[in-house]
Amino acid sequence: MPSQVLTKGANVSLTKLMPTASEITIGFSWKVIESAGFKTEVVPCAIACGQDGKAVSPEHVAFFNQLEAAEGSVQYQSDGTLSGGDDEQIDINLKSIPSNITTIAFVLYVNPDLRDPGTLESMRSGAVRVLDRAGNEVLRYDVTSSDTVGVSALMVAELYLRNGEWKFRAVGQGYTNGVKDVAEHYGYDK
Amino acid sequence: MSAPLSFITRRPPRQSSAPAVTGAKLSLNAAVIKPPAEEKEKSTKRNRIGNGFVLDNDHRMVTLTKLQSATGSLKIKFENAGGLADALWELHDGTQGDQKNIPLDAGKRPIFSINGNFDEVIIGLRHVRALRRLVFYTYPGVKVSIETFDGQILTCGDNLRLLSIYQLNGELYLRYSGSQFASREALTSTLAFNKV
Repeated sequence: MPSQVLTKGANVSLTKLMPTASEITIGFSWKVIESAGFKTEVVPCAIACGQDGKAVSPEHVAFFNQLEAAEGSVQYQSDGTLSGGDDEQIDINLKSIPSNITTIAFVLYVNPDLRDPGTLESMRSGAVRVLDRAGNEVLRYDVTSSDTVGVSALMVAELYLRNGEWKFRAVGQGYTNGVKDVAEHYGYDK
Repeated sequence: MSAPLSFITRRPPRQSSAPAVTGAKLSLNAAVIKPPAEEKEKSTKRNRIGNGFVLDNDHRMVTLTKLQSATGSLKIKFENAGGLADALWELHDGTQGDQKNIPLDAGKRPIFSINGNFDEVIIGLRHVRALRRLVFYTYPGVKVSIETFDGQILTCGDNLRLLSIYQLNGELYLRYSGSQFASREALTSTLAFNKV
């Protein structure tokens, strides 16, 4: 099955595209322009949300320091072993996602170190993709340069439930104030 | 400033759950630090940081969430320090040092930075799992406050002498102590900073 490349805003029904798949992997890749100074450190995360579009709790955010979310249905793999050169991977078990989770947002953010953190403008070749359990790329969204202008966080894509189908949408929505904006938007800042 | 250390990697080992920590020196019990009798733990309740929380002799430990422990930086203000503070650090591999030889992480930032005349300390959290513990020794009259990336602030009681920050399974534990030490040697010896 050839991979589909999504444009910003496009969505695909995973339930129809991969009817037998219970587990998928979301792969993230990027490059950062190197400089002699501090490095801009990009972090991917997955935010499991309820019907109100908010994170169910701060524990529903999977990232490098919180490897599981949504009762283990979302698992961050810091050195994902599936093929394709991803920098980080997050495994999703579609069958075990709790019923109160209707959206999982995938975000890339710059770690907001107080010492010159940088922005996503220094990121190149950013991409998010959906893989099957064999490591075959099924869907892909390539982050565009316009997505990252002036932002420190980017909601690259989301997995969401509509009428019993899990769908994957390329989003490309930036956040000027980075992960602080993301936490506020998804309601896990308190 | 030293070159980036190869053992501070961007990625923690692959595993389905947080790694176990076996280092004996990381013990949060009294094996390493024997508090005076009047500083016995008042409670085993796990405190969480929140605006207005005071870390003092009655509330000697607070735990940051995994988000707070690994997002952005931890900012510690030492008001009126005037240079009167000491810092000791230990990485997960047992490497130790003080403020004169702070190593760089994989992002090419010092694991913590001291600004001004020890007025402020910035601790980078992206590679927090490489850190085992940080200890700051302060002196009378120094007011200490700590701020997380999400704007949560806690203040420390006026009698703080030793602020210890331990990393355990990706969570940062902040510990208050009023213990005083006769000398720097007594401090490093008591806290098992033998390699400093």
